[in-house]
Amino acid sequence: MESDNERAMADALTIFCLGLVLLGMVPTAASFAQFVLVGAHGIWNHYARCRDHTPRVAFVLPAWNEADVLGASIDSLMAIDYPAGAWRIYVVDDASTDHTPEVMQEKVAQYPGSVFHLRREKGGQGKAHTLNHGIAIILEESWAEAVMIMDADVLFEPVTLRRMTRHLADPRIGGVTAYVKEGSYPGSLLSRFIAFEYITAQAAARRAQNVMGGLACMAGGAQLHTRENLIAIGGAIDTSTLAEDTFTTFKTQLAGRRVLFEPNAIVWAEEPDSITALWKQRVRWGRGNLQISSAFLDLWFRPWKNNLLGDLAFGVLWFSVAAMPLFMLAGSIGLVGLYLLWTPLALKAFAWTWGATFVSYLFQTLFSFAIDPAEAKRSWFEGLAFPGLLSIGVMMLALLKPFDSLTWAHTDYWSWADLLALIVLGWTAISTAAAWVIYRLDKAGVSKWLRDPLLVLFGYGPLLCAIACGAIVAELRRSDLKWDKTVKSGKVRMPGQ
Amino acid sequence: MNDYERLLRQDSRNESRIFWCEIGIVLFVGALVVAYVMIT
Repeated sequence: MESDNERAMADALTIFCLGLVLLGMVPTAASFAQFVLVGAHGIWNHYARCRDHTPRVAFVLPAWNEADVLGASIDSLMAIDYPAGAWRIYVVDDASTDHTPEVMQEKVAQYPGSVFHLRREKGGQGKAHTLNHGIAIILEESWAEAVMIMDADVLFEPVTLRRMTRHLADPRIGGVTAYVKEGSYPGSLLSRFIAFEYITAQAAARRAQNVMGGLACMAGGAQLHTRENLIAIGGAIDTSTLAEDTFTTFKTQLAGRRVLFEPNAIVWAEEPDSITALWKQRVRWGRGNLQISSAFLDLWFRPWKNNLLGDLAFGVLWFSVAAMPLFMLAGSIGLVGLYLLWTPLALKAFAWTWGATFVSYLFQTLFSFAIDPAEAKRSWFEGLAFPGLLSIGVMMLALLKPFDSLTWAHTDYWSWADLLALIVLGWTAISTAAAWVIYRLDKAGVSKWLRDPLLVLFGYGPLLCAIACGAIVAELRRSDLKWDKTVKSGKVRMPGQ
Repeated sequence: MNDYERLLRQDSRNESRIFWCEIGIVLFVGALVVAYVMIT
């Protein structure tokens, strides 16, 4: 009787571990499914409804100590291909203490009637408050028909605005966002990892979201709104979360207007050049996403409340990013647990899950190269090494199944083979922990000659997972909601510059 | 054809290119998977 109970318990635990393994596959499956949808953008896109539409556009640039980058941004904006006099630039200076006022004085004189300097005497409240100062002034006047919310360091290609405004000819559209590309020059290993990440997270994922009917986030670096839409969502940007761009995207769609990603409208931005700076920026984004998850708690998986944001597929996609470390941890625990309960089943589950991960990796990497061949030329190595060379080795183990012919199956005696097996089965969690160690090393100031090889070995993907983990911990500990600005040094260049 | 139409055509073509690339890559990866299953 007792052994029957034990067997029933073991069976229940085995099923539970299998469930965890399946849960661990959710982010891979969701991202694979999203990639499959990308090509459909060639058929289902918004181009048939576009018109040659050039509304008067007010650019709002929030600036806090941006003297190094502001001049180049304003010059790039003043050089765009758009009807003369149909765009203005409003720089909202958030009480900068550097040379921003002097730079602005020069630019206002250089472009009279087109560039405006709005100075806040008391600043430091964050980007959303700064933006709201400018938006309020723009909406007070009747001149602007559309408002472009952007970052101070972002460079616009000459036809980017035209590519975005053509969608606003359709009155159902409330906002359009552009493809923000990493443009640091000269680049580094980290900047090329980010550049490749942006192919997958923007050029691919947002095309798929266009096909699905709505976006999770309009990039804060280039977010074009119609005047009507801005007024409909309250005439201001949300200041309660750390993800004001995502909040605005959600509010626009909840107010009944569509938002679009225009993949061929390109802007260039400077991204963090150290893991420590990246960690700070992404923890802010991750915490913002968690705050959004909580702010819209009554919408998720409830299609009857909102047919886009409540959609099952949208919810799965959202949480597979926001709660990625939890899924990854579940997968690792599931495989290790299975190994302890029923070794052959664990090895089979390992082969299937990591084999599927390899297929997904191969498809997404090759397809990303095809989506943005120019970027792929620059960051092909980082694309291949994205999950980490060691993780690719684990995928090879799953495909080649060397353990099938070995006699290291679980015995009563623990051996080195068991330890090795546990490391391989729990690799997702281990590589995430290793990525955290790399972050700490970077923070401690180790040389890039040590940091970069470690990053290639353990991967940029696990680093993103570790950062998401950091965001969850910071949110649970209710750390200060500080708006940490990413420091920009003005090294962004557009191709051909 | 004016500049607006040229730009729209160029972008539509890029989206079609991506569509056909996806078909090609799916067939390539699919063939690799079938070959792997047959070999093992």
